Amino acid sequence: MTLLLTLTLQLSSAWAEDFQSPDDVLAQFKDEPSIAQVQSMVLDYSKTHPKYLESWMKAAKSSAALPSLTLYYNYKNSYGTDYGYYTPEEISDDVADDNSALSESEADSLAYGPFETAKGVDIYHVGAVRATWQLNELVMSSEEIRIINEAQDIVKLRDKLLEEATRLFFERRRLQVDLLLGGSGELRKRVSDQLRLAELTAQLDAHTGGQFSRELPKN
Amino acid sequence: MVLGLLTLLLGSPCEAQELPAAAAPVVPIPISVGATWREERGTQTFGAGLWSLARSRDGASWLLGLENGGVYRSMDGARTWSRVLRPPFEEGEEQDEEGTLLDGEVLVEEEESQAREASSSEEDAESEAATSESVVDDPDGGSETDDGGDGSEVAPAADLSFPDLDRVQSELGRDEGLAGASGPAVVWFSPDTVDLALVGRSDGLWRSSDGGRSWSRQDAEADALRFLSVPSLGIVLAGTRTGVRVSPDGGQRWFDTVDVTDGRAVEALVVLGKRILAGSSSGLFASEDGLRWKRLPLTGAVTGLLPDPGWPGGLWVTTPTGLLRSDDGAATFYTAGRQVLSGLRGLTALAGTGHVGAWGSDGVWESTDGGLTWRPVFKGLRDPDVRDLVVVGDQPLIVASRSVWRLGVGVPEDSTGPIGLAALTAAVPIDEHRLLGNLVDLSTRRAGLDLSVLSPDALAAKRWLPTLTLTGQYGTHDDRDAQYLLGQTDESSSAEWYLGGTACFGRCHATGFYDLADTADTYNSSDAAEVATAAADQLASDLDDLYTLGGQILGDGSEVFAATNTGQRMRKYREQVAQQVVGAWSTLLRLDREAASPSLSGQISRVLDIQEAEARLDLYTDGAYSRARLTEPKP
Repeated sequence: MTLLLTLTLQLSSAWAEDFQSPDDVLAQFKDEPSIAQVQSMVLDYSKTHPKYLESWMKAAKSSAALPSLTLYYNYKNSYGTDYGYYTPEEISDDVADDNSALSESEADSLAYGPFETAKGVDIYHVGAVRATWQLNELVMSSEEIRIINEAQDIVKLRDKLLEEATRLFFERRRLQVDLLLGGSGELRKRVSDQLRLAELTAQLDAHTGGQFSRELPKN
Repeated sequence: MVLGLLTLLLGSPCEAQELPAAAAPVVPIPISVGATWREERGTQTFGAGLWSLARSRDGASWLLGLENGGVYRSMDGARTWSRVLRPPFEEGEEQDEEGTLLDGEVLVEEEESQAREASSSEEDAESEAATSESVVDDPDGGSETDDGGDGSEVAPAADLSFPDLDRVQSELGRDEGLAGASGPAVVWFSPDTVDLALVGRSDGLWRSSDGGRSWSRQDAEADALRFLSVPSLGIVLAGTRTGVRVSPDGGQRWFDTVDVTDGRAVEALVVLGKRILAGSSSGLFASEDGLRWKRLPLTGAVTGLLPDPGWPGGLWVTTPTGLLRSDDGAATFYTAGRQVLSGLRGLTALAGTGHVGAWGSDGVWESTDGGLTWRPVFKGLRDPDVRDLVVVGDQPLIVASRSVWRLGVGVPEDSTGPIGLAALTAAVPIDEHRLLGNLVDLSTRRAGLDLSVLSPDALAAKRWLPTLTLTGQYGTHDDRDAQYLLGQTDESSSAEWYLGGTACFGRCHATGFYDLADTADTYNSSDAAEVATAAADQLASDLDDLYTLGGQILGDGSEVFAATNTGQRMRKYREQVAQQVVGAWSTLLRLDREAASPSLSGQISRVLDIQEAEARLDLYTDGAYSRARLTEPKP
């Protein structure tokens, strides 16, 4: 603020007669940020640069080309044991019939049960991959429509911010020119103009996150 | 001095500019085709109705008069305004002490002025005796700048001690001019003298010599309704509620002409041929010198006058009941036009032979056939009570009851008709027009505004394209079975792969896998709990597909509806963007072709206006305008 007032008061000390052309007058502000720079500051600060929108749109468009991918793995271990119950007669007869190597006395020693007769295990490994393409999303997706809507709002916001910043910039510049050419006017009027100038500078700072003031010449 | 002035004036017959020799007819381009009124932002906060609008010769300053007498000034092409003259009496406000003291100064000066007049009454009496034209000198010393002007035009300050506040307030209460009636402010810029501006309102006639920045009251008697500069005579006329007043020095001193216009509200003043015409509440009057007036054969109220630039002696006259026309220098009149145009307040000439605009309580009208037929210029105008109109280049600005409106050229509704884009752009060189077209195209195809992404063909194709699912699956199965009694062990190992695809049309939410492991166990399950779980999963999936757009909840399959809404919003904003670009372009063209102002401040103002218009073009085209200037001819 102090710097700004100092600068402006210095400019005010010049007389209109010193200037021969508009270029002479406007050259007094050549060290200040140009309108293009101010617009760029606004874009950076508000994060509404067109490059963001373009990347969003591209991402929305290309996202449908990639499938939704599902990986599946299943491990299953199934095991079991068989048991049997036998009378001694069944055993001796059956065993004797089936296996002549088993003696009578050995068969007699077997009685009832349960007897583990068999054991089994089943192990399954299943892996699967599923890729799904929503082909209709390739031509137009709900995501894309949502992004377009958001992008539209961003464009409106950007236009509004830039319009306002542009208006403030040139109102401030006209006021600077008025102060420069106004010479020694009434003190109250000059103070009022200085305050208005400071107000416009602050408004530009609000749109640029203070970058505008930081870029003003320091002397 | 007064006598000398009279002699000077009487000895100089009006030498108004001769109309130029008839030029080749220029086909008028209707302003109503493809054009939309756009309300200027920031103009809705005046706190009173709007009344009059004026633009300085160099375009650096604009003045806006309000119904309550307040005056605002703009330095950026009538976009933003700041008050330069407060109303004589602000309704609903207590008059502050400072304001009262300021008015007190005026009051005391008026008293001193009256005292001076009394002391010079003998001289005035001599003047009145010497001529039948009574001229009353009525200087007044009031001055005002709302934000503290430099006061260069302030009358010499008297040695004033502040008057008693109570007495001043008491006086003010009796003075209708200061605290009583608060009529509208009529603003005017001199077309001849740079930065000379006048304001007429209930508390008198105010003058500014610095483009409206600071003001001083010159004449407390006049409540001017219209001003006219007659450079050939070196005078400025004011049509007031009580007749015509004249100033020989650019509005510093004003004199009342005692004549037939006395007591009549003079709302229209023009130069027609070698005569000055004054339209009043009770007829039309003519004068050759601005002092002596004769009644013309038109006795009804006249609200507006416009000489026909294409017909020597041609004159349009607006009245409360319609439009009249004279082809013979205001000797005879007849009803013009086939339509009844009531409530007209004024007329203006537009580019092209026979191209006339009119405005009033029913909006803006234009005629391209010399007033025979009229059509409204209404698109976008939500406030048709039009009080004043100023044409800049080909772009009219109007003051309606609540705000300022600017007519911008949009996209013609029917570009194939006889009056279409070609007609609109006929006056623009092809290179410039091509560049403008490119800029509009670029501005409306920025990311987020490109309608082609919402192609109807794509939306139609979407309905016929399936959800394609490819599934690949591989599984192994190892089995071991031991029979102890038999002393036998069996082992087996198997593998299975599966590749499948499905194309699902319509709503597809299948998420299950064919699982060879679960085939026997769970695949065929119809357990109630599992069914409920599956339903919940389905619901969650459906909810995931929902989204909101424009306050409405949409779901899968609603893309057409959503795209339609999006397209409508986008189309509306694209129109606004196109208007902004064309408006900035028009401003640029106008400034480029406009004669440079002789004053340094006027030249700087023009340079800044150009830079601002260029910055706005860059704003809407992501900088394409600046890039194009490197390769395209500068407009």
